[in-house]
Amino acid sequence: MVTVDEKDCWEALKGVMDPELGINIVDLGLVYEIVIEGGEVCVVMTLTTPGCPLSGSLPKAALNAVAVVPGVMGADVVLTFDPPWSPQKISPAGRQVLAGN
Amino acid sequence: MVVELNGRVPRLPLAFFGLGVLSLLTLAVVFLVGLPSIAGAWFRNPWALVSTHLFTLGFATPVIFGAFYQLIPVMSEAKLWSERLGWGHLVFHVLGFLCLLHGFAHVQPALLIAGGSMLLTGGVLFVIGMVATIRVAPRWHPALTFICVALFNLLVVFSLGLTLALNWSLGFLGAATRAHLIQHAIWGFGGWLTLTILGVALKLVPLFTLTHKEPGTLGVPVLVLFNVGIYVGLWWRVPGLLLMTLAILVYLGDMAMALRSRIRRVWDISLRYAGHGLLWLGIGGVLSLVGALYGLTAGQAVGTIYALAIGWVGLLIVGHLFKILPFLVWTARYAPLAGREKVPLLTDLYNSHVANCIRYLLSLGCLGVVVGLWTNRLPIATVGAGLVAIAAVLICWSFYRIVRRDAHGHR
Repeated sequence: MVTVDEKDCWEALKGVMDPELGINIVDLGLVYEIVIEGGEVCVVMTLTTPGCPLSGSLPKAALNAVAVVPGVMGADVVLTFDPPWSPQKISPAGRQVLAGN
Repeated sequence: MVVELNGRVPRLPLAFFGLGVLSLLTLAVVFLVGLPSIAGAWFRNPWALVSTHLFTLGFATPVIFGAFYQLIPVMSEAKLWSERLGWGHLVFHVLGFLCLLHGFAHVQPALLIAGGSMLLTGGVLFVIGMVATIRVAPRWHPALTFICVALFNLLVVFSLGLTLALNWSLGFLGAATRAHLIQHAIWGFGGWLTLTILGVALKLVPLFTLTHKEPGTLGVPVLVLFNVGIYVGLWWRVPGLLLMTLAILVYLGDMAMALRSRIRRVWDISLRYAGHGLLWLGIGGVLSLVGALYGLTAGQAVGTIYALAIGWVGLLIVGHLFKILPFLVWTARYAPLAGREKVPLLTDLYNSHVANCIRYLLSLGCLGVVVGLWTNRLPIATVGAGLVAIAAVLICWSFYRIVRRDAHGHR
């Protein structure tokens, strides 16, 4: 049985782009935590604001991304606004993209 | 409205947007053909009345309606109260709009009354739907305060319009008819269209620019100043205009302060359009002030209204459509694939060169119309109106291409 590697999950989530900003959700600082229990993966994530127009689609995209990671039997996404997102959560790579985007 | 991830773009906003862009195209042609007549006399001129209502009731207001059916539930973090009510609103609005156009074009006051009544009924349905959605918002955003005031003002505009339609048959306003017409226009452009734009921008500009310090701390003073300006302007034009100008300057100052902390440095397409629009708001404001102080010829009055309509409201709305239409298409057709495969960004869904070209065509066209009408040089105004007509064709083409794009990128 293949065990789920957290690194693989983070890599998979890096493939999910915010279609408005052109930056992936990991570098944007939207993913807070990945909890792995056996083959079950739970992604704890947020959005830039509670009234975000992408609130329906980004969590679903994150779910799609981790569901295909080797060893994942089941996946879930928990949306939280505690703590709320702030620009400080953007990675240096993300900032570079946004500076020229 | 919850955007369904089923490949189908939500039809209610799309229907309003369709009405909007087709009306813009029709307006561009009607204005071009009717320009010699409109430049000579605007009061109760069928060309002027048809053009004005093609812009307000055919283009600007329906696009806002469509955007609200998508945006208000998102801003309120709630489901749209009733989509069925929205369809009823669309039917009343379209029928009322067509009656009004026919009534103006052929000078039939009875049709104006019928059209005005249907538009007011549609407006009431719209406001009920929006307020019922907003009232369950778990968090209150300053933008919602602007929107609520604008919704009230919309009903005032429709009521004043119906009063004017009744007066056309019954003549009860007498010498006050012109004053009521100006009130109708000020409430429409200021109280409804401008307040809506300012309110929506309070939410969307920080979102698109990743601005952490949200503007809106001065929201209530701005709202009070602006609305007092409208009321004062109904009787004393110059003080009213100055109060509205002051309100907008305070708002822009608040927004500029907030934007200093933005993370996304490059302006996106809607903000570039907004930049041009603000320039035209400034020009239109100065021309209005000159008019209030010294009086205007018919051509100058039309030029001033054109600057505020196409230059300010038009540019803002077209820029916003380049955001919202790709968003609706992306959410319906690409969101289900996101995370599984590489999907396009919103900016990949339209041709940015064409979008920029449209912005300059609208601005240059507006400049031609305003300069031509203010200097009484009709050929310059005609060239300007022609540029706007070319822009309108490109807008229809661009938006059709966005909506027709399928999940595999085929257009």
